[in-house]
Amino acid sequence: MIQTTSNGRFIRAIRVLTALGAVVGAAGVATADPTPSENGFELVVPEAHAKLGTVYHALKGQDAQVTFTSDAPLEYIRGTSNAVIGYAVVGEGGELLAGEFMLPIESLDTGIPMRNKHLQSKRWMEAETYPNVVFRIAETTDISESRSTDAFTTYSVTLVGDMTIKGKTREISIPATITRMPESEQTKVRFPGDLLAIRCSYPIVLSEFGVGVDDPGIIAGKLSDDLTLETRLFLSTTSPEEVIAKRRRR
Amino acid sequence: MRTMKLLWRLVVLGCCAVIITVTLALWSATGKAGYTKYYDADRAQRDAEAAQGSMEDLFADTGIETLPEVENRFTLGLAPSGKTLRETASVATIAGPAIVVGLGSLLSIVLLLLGDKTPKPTPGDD
Repeated sequence: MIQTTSNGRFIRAIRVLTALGAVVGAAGVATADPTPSENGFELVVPEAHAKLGTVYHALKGQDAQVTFTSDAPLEYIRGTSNAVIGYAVVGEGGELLAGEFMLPIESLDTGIPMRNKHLQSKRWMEAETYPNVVFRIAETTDISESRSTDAFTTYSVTLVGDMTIKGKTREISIPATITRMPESEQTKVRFPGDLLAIRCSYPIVLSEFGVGVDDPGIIAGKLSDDLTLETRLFLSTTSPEEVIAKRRRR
Repeated sequence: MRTMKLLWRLVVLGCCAVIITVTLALWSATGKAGYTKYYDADRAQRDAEAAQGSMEDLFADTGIETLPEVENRFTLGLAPSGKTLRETASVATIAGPAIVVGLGSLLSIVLLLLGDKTPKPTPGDD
């Protein structure tokens, strides 16, 4: 009798652990970071996405790509990064059919090394556990062509996607401007391939992502719970890995 | 002797007032920042190298706006921004001690002046 009860408990414990494992596993898959390429200059594009349209890769390490601003009563903080990698799959009508972008937290620079470390600490972004901010494009709505010349076409769109910060994912809609620029003699000099620029500005509420909830810094007015994120990404149809490999061969 | 003491304390008070005023003026002139920051030559170099491959001018006519920049210049902050000697410079660490010393001087001046007013014992009082 005693043995039966003990076996029953054991089986129940195994079932609970299995269920927990499944939940954690599912959460891990849902929020897992995209896979960077061998040298870390781009993200690996899943085949399912590559089939949808033309793939453009983000060009990191040159122009500033993301700026965040915190305008709190006691302190004004601005930080920037030019280390965003990712890709966007563009359809014929200028719509972004899919895409993933990854911003390493360690790349955010506020101009003060100590503040950068604070930002990466467990108290704020917990960069050791959650090293990246990830945005996945789910769909593009409200597409309208706002300007077109021989050299480029600009569209106004709304990007709908999932933003993951500190392991928490929320759906957000971002009004954006997208410009497509086919390769020309002028563009070739800078980077081979057709070019794409994405520009958007949007608010992020830190507490919605579990960042700085009830933190004395926010309560005291040193950091705002509402951040403004401004993004300007330049992308190319030519893989940055290929270009870098070619340059190395020379 | 008492006059000399008073004079020295007035000089100390004056110096403290100058230190506090100049520190606050520098804090205000450099952007009223929360933390002290220095011009970073390495960062300037990295930015300059990155700008060589910039796409900005290619897209200048498209209406794609530029991003606001993080300023790379000296600002004297209210609080220190690190543990190295130069990072400890701030309004709190420069004007703070001056305020303490200044208040001490002011207090001792007041006590000296009050001491002057206490009636001196005259012969025949006892």
